[in-house]
Amino acid sequence: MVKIIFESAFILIFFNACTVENGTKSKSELYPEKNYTLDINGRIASTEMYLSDFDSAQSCQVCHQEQYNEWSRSMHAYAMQDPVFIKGWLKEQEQHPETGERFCVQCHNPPAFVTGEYLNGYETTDYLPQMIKEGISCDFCHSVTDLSNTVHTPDNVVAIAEFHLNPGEGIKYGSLENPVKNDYHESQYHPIFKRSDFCLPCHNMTVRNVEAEMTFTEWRRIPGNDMGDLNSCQSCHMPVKSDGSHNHEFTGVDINLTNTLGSSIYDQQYNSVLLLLQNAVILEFGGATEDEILVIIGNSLFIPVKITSQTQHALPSGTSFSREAWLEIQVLNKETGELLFSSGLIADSSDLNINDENLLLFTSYLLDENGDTTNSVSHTHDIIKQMLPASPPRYHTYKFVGDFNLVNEFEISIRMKFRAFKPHLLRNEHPELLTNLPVFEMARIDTTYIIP
Amino acid sequence: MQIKYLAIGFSILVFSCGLFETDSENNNLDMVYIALQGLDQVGIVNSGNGDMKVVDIDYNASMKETPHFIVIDEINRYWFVTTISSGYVGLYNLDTDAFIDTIMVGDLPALMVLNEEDKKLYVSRMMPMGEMGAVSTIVQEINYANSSHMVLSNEFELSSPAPHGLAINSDRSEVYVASNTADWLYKIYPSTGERDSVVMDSSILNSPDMVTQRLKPIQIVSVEDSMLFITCSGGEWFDNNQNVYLPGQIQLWDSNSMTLIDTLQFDWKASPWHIITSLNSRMVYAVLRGDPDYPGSAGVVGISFESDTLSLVVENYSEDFQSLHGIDISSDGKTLFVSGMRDGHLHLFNASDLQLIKSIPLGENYSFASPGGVKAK
Repeated sequence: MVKIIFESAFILIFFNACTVENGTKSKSELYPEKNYTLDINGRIASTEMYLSDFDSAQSCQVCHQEQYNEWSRSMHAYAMQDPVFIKGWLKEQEQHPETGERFCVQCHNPPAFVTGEYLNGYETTDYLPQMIKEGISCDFCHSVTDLSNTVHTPDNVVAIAEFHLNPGEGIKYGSLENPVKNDYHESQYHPIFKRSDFCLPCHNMTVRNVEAEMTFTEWRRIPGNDMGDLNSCQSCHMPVKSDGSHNHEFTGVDINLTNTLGSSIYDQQYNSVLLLLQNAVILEFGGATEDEILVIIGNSLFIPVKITSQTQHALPSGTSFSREAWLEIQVLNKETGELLFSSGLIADSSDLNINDENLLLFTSYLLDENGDTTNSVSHTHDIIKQMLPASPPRYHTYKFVGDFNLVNEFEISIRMKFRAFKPHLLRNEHPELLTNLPVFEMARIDTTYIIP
Repeated sequence: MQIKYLAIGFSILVFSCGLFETDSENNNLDMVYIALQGLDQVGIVNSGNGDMKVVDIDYNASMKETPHFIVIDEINRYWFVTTISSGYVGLYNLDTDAFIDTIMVGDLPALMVLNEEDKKLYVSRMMPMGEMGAVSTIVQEINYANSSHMVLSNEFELSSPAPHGLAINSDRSEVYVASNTADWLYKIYPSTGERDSVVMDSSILNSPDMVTQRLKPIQIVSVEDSMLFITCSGGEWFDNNQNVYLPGQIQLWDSNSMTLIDTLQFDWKASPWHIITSLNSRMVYAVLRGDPDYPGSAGVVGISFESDTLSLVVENYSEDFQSLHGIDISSDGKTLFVSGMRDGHLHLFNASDLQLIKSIPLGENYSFASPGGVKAK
């Protein structure tokens, strides 16, 4: 009897201990990671990862053809192919020999960054390992095991990106809670794949405490978004398809400008971007108050417009200093068709007249240490933000002065337009890309105004 | 010999079961309910030993729930939780934490206040989230007199969008609401549906329906039936073609005359968030959410309101705090419980000097938990 009681007690104690031990796995057990450290120039000082730990996207293609095709059309696949990037990268290497190459690679090729594959001097990636050529490919994202912080680039502009990865162990992490087993790799659900923070390490960067490229922060600063991760990046840029899987085109505002204008791949990318942009804003006639209406007072025509963003970050975002969105307005004499007034009306590859007082332009300007405009992120010392915020709406009133005695009716047309590059950024160094640069029409409103 | 074995075995068994643990060994026995937004759970933490049990929130199998805010009815022994994404209010037994009922309220329910006497619950809306943002101008009244079935008993439509900040006076005759996007303050008399309102942003005096997104009021606390303390997160604001930074604020209002008495300003990165009143002194405590891009900007502050003047008495900032969110105070008034939305911890502070007592990780996957509202019992 005593023996039984004693044994029971022992079993109970043992059971209790086992319950504590086996109740749940710790985070590091569930989601392990391989470490790396950086030296003062942002180069690898030590790493537990090798380039061979990462599988090429081509190996994923065998079973995931559709996702592979989508990714192949994405800017992630283009990250190491883009001639604008290559030229800027080479410039960085020239201007910052110790740090420039890593500064760009940290986000354009994280596998090369965390494994210490140095790529100085390459003007093309044609002869580099497949994993490097692929830019941001499948296995990088599906090896992520934890969230990262914003890249706060210090004054000496070294790479400091923080990635938490577990490549080379045959485990692919993802957003499916009950992944189907397969013979090729282990599949593991990870909740961070549904979160905007997942995109943070490459889409949020300060330079010298200047908010240079802050898409994630713009999203986070929308009151409410941060709570429970509503309206995540993935919901717009990786929308769920009819079969329940996520689109892997990562559609944003860029397209591959090296593709031939009118080719099917060009058109496919163009249409994806167009669809996204057409859902990004709402244009309306009218002002902030009921008093602000379309009206002629004396010899001035006032046209109030309301622009409401439907995006979850600023517009433009990311490299907002290289992009521009603007309103084009045309005011015609309805009877004669004569163009009476306009603003923002340009040929596709020409520059906007930024001296036009009526022009409503959404962009930003990076400033260097002398306060002059620069297009180099690494030279950023300040930023002028003129983007369209996610909220509140933006109100703008056009004022055109003229003689309206001979006009009975105005035909007014306003369009919101967007292009991913300011033309002058391509004109000299990439004229072939400028001809392929599309101007998207995001929204359009029209009205007729009869002069009382 | 047998008796000796028996005694040893029994002693080991008893001690292993924790039967001899005392209250003093557990220090503070407040149980703290925390909305784990990222995990669709409510965590119930023993603030003494840090143990946590969880209640899964799963009202709609096809979508995320995002439990956000919790209130406790200590008299009738219930607790309630709002779920932002799925649009429900959930009702639970306070003694057993057993699920009782849900009611679909829709349109991003956010904060709640209770009228325990009449068994009524008031629900506000979440602030805007782009195209998914709350467009509703409604504060709902839910009747839970039938303990197994909540019913929507009234709706109060305001002239402003995103009615978010919410408070109630002690005799439950007045409910106060602040529009997060239009910066207007409302006083609703639930018995008649009448209301008073006033613009909070004296610098632009916008109309009630005009979305300005300047002060961005977050939460209200009613004190002594004459004062309202309102946290306003402020922050980055776009004024035509330039961005400006508005300071975070705590505003003190006369709830009878609906006039502003005093304002205490903070850095634009501070973002005053949830707020509670002290049990023992003329103080309020507010969470400063901070901006994760500026480590050290998050903290907790204690503010005195002697002579109707706000003055900062005590504060505690740390780089370890990331996006602080909810706050509540222990039943003895000595300890503050604060959730860190991005750091995934429940932080305990000494209420008198705001010294950090300890930080409890909210589960094994605390970094994905996104804790929001906090309520202690």
